[in-house]
Amino acid sequence: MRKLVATLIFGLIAGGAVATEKAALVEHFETTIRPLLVQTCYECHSAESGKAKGGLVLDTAAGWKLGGDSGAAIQPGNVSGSLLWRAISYEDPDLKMPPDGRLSDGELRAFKKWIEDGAVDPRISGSPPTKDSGGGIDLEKGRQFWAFRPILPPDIPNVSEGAWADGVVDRFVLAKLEAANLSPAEQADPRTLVRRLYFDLIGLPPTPDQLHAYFENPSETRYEDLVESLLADAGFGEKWGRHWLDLARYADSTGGGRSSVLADAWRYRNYVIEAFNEDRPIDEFIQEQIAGDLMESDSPEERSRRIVAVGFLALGPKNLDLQDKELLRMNTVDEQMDTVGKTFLGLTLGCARCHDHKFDPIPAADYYAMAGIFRSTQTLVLGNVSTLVKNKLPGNSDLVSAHKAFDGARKKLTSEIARLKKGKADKALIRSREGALKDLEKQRPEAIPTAISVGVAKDAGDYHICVRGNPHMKGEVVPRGFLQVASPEETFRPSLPVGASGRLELAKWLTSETNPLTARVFVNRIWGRLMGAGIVSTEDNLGLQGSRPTHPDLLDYLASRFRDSGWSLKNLVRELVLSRTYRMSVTEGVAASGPELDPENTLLWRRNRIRIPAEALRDSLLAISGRLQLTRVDSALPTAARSDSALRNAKLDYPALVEQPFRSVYLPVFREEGRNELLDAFDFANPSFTVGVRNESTIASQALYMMNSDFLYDCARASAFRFLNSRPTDEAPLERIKIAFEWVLSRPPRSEEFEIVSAFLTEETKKVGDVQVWTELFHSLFSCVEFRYLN
Amino acid sequence: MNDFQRKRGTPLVGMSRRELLKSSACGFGSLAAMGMLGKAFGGTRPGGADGIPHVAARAKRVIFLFMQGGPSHVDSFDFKPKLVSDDGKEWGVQGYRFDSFRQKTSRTMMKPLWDFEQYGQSGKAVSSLFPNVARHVDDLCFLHGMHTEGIAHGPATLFLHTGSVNLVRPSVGSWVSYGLGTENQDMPGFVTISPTARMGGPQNYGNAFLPAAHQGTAIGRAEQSIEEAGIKHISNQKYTQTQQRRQFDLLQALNRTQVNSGGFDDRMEAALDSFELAFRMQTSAPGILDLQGESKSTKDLYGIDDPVTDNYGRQCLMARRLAESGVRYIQVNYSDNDGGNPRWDQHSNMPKHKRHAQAVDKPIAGLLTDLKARGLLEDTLVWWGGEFGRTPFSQNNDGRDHNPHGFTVWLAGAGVKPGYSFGATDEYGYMAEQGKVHMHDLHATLLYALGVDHERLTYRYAGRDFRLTDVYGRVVHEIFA
Repeated sequence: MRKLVATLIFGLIAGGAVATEKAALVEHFETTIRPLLVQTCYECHSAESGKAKGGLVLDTAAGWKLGGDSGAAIQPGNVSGSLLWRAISYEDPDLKMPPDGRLSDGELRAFKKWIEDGAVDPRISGSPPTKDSGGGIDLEKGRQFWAFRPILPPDIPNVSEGAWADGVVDRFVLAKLEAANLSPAEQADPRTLVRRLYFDLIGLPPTPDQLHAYFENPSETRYEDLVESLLADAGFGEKWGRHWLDLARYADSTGGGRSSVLADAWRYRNYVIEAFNEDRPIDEFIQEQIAGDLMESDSPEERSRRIVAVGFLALGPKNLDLQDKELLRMNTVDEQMDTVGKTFLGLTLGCARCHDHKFDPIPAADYYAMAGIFRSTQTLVLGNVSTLVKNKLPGNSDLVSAHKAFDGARKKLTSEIARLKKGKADKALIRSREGALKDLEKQRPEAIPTAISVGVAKDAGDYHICVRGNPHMKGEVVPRGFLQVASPEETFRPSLPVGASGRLELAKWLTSETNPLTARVFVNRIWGRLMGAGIVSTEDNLGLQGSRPTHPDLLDYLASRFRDSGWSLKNLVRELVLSRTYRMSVTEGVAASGPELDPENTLLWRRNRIRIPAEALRDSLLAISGRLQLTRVDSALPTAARSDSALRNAKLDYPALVEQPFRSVYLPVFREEGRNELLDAFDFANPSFTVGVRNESTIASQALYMMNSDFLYDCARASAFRFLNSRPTDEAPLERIKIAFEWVLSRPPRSEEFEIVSAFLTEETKKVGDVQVWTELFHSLFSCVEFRYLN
Repeated sequence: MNDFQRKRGTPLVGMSRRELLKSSACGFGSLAAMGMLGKAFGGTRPGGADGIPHVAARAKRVIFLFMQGGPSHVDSFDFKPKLVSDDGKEWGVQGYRFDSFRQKTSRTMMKPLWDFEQYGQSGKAVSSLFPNVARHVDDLCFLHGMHTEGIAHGPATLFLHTGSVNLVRPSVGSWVSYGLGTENQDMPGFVTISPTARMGGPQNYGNAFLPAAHQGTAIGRAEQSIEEAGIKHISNQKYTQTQQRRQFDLLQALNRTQVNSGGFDDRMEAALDSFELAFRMQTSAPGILDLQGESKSTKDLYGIDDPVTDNYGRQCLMARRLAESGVRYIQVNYSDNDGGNPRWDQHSNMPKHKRHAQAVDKPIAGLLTDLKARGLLEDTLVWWGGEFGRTPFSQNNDGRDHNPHGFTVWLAGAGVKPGYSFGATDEYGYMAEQGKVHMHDLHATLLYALGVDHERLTYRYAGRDFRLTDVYGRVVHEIFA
């Protein structure tokens, strides 16, 4: 009402009166509002105090007009829409200012009047607002940080002639070692090397036959030949695909309160495995997962593949029965931001959800620029219990045309029947057509398969900053776009029209050759898996809080080469495993001064000992005991459970499901309960987070599992039977010890081990049957530390 | 050293710390054992996080009696005379429950189904649902102004346990274990008895990004009789004792040679140590969980062997034994019905509350009596409560709906004011009005009782410091004596 009056006055009365009114408003400000601001706000929000909490200063008009992290503080004339009012009125439990006590009712009335009257504020001096497009963040300075600099091919260092280094990778490593007065370790012995290569490339140990074949191969290039054959093995995608699934927080159930089965999740899992086996360029692989549904495809098969790929965005943990649907929607966006940030960019974007990133040059505005793209993406069908978006897969063109034919025929019949009925045609005729319809229904083709996917939201468009991350507190609208610090000038806010998704543009931005992060992040991960630690050890965080690269030039060499020569994973792996750096020994010929000069081995003066992943541990046990089924698996769920119903209704027999004897990558992964016990005990990645580097815990529950689980005993017993059946009956027990070690550890026993086991055998075989003794022996070999740690 | 190994001999050079300890006559020195344990438990110090205690600790441990599904406060501990007099009255409720779907609705007030009586010196009114607990009111401290997040079971249950309705965060017990460390090297720091697999399942006792050693160790699961439950893989079903000892000795002999020839490697040595620890746990844990040695009078106190109270009685007695053995955080769950519905969730048929109250009332009273008699109540904080309460108005004629806006929990022991009631709901028991305590505040208060400042117990993950209470939480100082 007051405002209406003011407008009327402004509208009707001539200039002089307006000036009087203005003077009154200024007076109100000077006598009432300014003292209040000085008393209650300047302490945290002024140049004088040197503080701008939340990015907000209140000692100039420009300060509140520009606002803080959450946007403009005052909307003149609009009390309820002004953040300042929301804060001082204590309406919002999450935003109460001043924090040490509410203003008096009279003071609040004064503020209310001031805002209603247009928030007249004559102050021009005070602290100049420092805020540009990046808030309080200095983006130019940010761009100087190593990870945000462009990736350029570095100069290859000179190292001493005739030296150890013959490949480029080795030259970078050796240059650092020489500078530190260190020397590389000897090459690992061939058995160790072959075992290492098998585990690293396909996640399984070499069989005794494969070992012998290698040693009987007279070719000088037998190591290179082995690399090629393992790169071509289907196990390559199964091993490396699992690493990607850790990043993609892959699971077969949603988690959350009323966890639901994700019946089609396996399609995404197999998509990843195939992509790695086919060596699909990683830039395309990334684009498909961000915007596969929006990409143009040349064939129905390609289109199907891409619909499956974009399921990446939808597979995260969710609480589908969360009743605050706006919160659910924005939590989903946040989860996608967090996953995309860590997986592709190596940044903890989630930190910028509630305020400008505290460490990295990422303003909250950038967060909401990117979040707007995911907000414009439909991931959920909201409801009491919400569901995920499903898309049909057009890949099977026969099936699609069968459906087309069926639908056409059905439509024709039903409309004919309707017409006949309307025309009061002969009842017998109608009955015969109805019979025909019934017959047709029986021939309905099988359902077209569907995949978990995403679509474009109906309200696609730019979105608000959510003040302090609260989806119900809307700040300024931010045009959609990308991270300023990781983009060339002028490209970070492409103009995206209302209704457009923006994901395709995001996918291209992620994989563009000017993006400084994506290629570095990816090659760093591959290096980490093959060498034991990333060049940047915090693989999911290349930002300021992450660690610095130990070999920055090497990282840029690998990243630029990877990016400029087709984003090939297999070429990258090949280059690394052929290097001498990869082939070093853990223990032999290591630099004596190494432990003192570089105790963490960051410069790589020896090989890092790697603990094999839980999957490799389990798969090896199955393989050695002769029980591993090496077949590709689609859905690992029973038919009855292949619908997206609540998990508890699916009545799953978890132990049976997660003990199926195929490779562990194919076992279902439930977020709630009933995952494979061995995998969980040995630090399987939490399927609710992006995990670049798994935990490596050593705890008593692992030992209890190795000592007492049925699985270990069964593997040991099956191995004992298999072993004893495969050996000649007249073989000397001592000879057998050597063979058994080769089965399990790919090497003969050391003399001490040989003595321990031979004493065990000769004493114990007399008292108990062979199978029992050999079961105990295999059980011990399976539990021993060298079975877990790869030399 | 065992016979087998002594015969083989072990070179003294390159002997690990473990061997040195084992070969010294007294075995584990406590300091060394702590050090090793630290490694075996994922590299964290058993003494807990830095700087703890931040404040004087009143409690050494927590026993949480989780009443899953939302027990009705207006039918048990929060007496509302106006609800009795306004029974049957129509009441307009705005925006209740499914905010995005439903508009203002009219609900019918329903008086408590059980009569209230005053008990003890404090004269606290308790309904006939809990006649045994009622006799302990002078030991209890009621928080009537509780409110929380999440209107459905899943989000609210996760919120109670982790302080988050949706994002995966460490459980309260994991934070406690991380903060305080372990008191007993043979046992985990956080144990949950008969937890539900639903409503977040293991996430409710998960360590999330905290080190794995702080994950809750589950004993049994909801819907499984506690008599059949135990710690996973705690015993061997395939070998005789002799066979297992022989196999174990062979394994450790091999491990020692491998550790010695592997160059110095903490991790390999920690793996070797973890087997020793496991073996000791295998020896001691079943004894702690075995109730056979308890006297008949103790068992009677908990209602053991009475079919109505046997199961929860055993759980509570087990909790006392775990408390005695040094476990920091013990959660005793009264969880799912068959079919996976939370037990206290009476959307219809409120009279079924009686059955649940009967199953837990005597065991809880027995636990309180027993803890007190043994002097354990002085440094044990007992927490009773559900993920939310229930509405004063009816649903489906004779049921009540979820109510996260106002409900009651009670605490006992460890320096909280006995015979005290703090906070209040409105005249019907719908909304918390006075002395409001948000679940974040309760978390902060629990940590405070344990000597931990909730703002200082943090863990750095993904570039920022996380804490149980996020950016919230107020310690309810008013309830401490």
